Amino acid sequence: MDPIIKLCNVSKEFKVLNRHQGILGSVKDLFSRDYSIVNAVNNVNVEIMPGEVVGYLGPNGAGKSTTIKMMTGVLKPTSGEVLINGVDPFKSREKLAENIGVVFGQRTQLWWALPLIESFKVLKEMYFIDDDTYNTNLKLFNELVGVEKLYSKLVRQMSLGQRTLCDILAAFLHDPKVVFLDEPTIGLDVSMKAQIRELILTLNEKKNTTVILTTHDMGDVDALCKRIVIIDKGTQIYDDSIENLQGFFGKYRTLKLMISGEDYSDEEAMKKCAHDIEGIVKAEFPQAVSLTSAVDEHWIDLTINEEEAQLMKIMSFLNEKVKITDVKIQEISTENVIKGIYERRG
Amino acid sequence: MAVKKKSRLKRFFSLTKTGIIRALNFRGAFFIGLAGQIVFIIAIFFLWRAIYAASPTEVVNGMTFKDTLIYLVLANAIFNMTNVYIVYNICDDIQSGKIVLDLLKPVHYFLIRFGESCGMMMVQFIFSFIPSFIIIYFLSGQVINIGINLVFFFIGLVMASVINFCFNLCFACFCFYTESCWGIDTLKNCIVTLLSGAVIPIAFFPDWLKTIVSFLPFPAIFNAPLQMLLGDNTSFSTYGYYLLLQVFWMIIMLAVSLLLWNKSVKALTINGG
Repeated sequence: MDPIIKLCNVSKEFKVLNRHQGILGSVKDLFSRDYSIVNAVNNVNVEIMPGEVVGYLGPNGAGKSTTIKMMTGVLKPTSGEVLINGVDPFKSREKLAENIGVVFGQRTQLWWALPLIESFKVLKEMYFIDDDTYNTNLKLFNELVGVEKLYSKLVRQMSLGQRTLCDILAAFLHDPKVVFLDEPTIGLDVSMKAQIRELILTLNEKKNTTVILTTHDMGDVDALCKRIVIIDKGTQIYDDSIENLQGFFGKYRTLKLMISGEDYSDEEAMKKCAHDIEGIVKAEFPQAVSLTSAVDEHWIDLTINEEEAQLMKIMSFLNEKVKITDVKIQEISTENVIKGIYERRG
Repeated sequence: MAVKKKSRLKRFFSLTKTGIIRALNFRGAFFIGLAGQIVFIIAIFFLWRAIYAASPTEVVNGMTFKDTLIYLVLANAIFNMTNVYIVYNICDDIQSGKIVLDLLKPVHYFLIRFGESCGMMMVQFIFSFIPSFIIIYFLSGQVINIGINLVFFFIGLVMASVINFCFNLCFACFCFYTESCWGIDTLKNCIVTLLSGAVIPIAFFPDWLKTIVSFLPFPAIFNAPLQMLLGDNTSFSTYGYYLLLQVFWMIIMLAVSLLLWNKSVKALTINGG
């Protein structure tokens, strides 16, 4: 099977005007030729198969949106080759548009002044959706989220959650081969997030749609993606399954300790205690360089990379040194791993 | 092939529908606009009555008071009909970045916005132009011909809408480079109302300005349909002349606006938004 999305050595440079400060500086900027080149995306290579859900992650300003824009054809790559469904998106944007769907979390593609069902009808004509497909899809949407209730509601009167839900449905309405979701759950409450994740997952399964998802919410990633690609400062730093992510960046686990004789209400004392413990552990296990300590309410957390030192050994060592009243062991979350990656590179 | 053609037309009508609903949504603006029209007619009436009263002859620059009044009211009605915030809306799309979503539709942006504008103009035609026409028709003592000239006028009005849209699109292109929607829209409105003869009839312009204006598309938007409606000699060669003039400007403006637009979009897509 051929990949539906193929990025080959894709780079994007922007010419940015170096702006000056103050009024005089602003006037100067009007005539300035003082540009610098910014590498927004650097040599990215990705291949995505039909039906995959891929999380595209990275800190703010990493180049995620730029890559998405190149994949959809609204930005022309400076160098490299992009192929979506076998066509160059920049050269044949309008042709490709029939095969892709897009949701940008903070904007809507629906018509503000129109009731939802009218927006859907316009999209039906725009994408030349035949009656059968249109009716089947509406029926499916209705089974999934009960969208019928919203048909006569004006888009501008919808809550953010309702609107996002409808935007996602609109993106899937013409049975696209690829759907790009740019931060679809931004600003939504917990239950709405869950509903939207469920919807995306079901639509992906039912229609075998390829989904590219960018997000800052690791809950989205855990719920939806089997594979993630991480980009930072324009460079791709990870492309593998989510299970391997933890192994790839070290086997981190968190040891949570409750120490007797500590005043839990005094945060300063707790921090000092955590620091002391980190000190004695590091003295005993000098190979555990990436060990960190933190305070979490009544608990003292030690995050340990098990490739450096075994958690069990550290625990039995500490048991001799300090009086431990209670213990918990926590697998590190995707969120913390990603956070670690961003910080390490920052 | 026939099937595809049909659905393309249907697609266009669905876009028009968005414009109609959008325009109808602003009920308040609607009635205020209508009231504004009436105030304008009253102001124009007294202003030009004073001008004609001060003049020693009844005919100034080949136009009687009635001619001037009819011309100005209808020119302004056309201006209001075609002024559906095209520049403002497009600039807003560009600035907010919403344009990206429209660029990702399988329909050219030109058609999306043109379809929508057509819908809005239809609403304006019915609720703004027709009332103005009826008021001025009776106010002027029913001197406007009612006959075949109405048909030609309507054809002229449709072409005027296309030319006007293209002209607006050209202006909207500036928005890719500057950062003010409101300023550009206001500037455009000033230029259009003055040079199109919607405030002062072109017959009153000094000769040098008349010459300049004759090289601009405005006479094709305002003067041409109005001459077809109000002209005394109903010869078909006159209609032919104005229609050809409009077709000429329509082709020029379509070419220029599409060229300029595609170039601006390219600048956006190469250097980012």
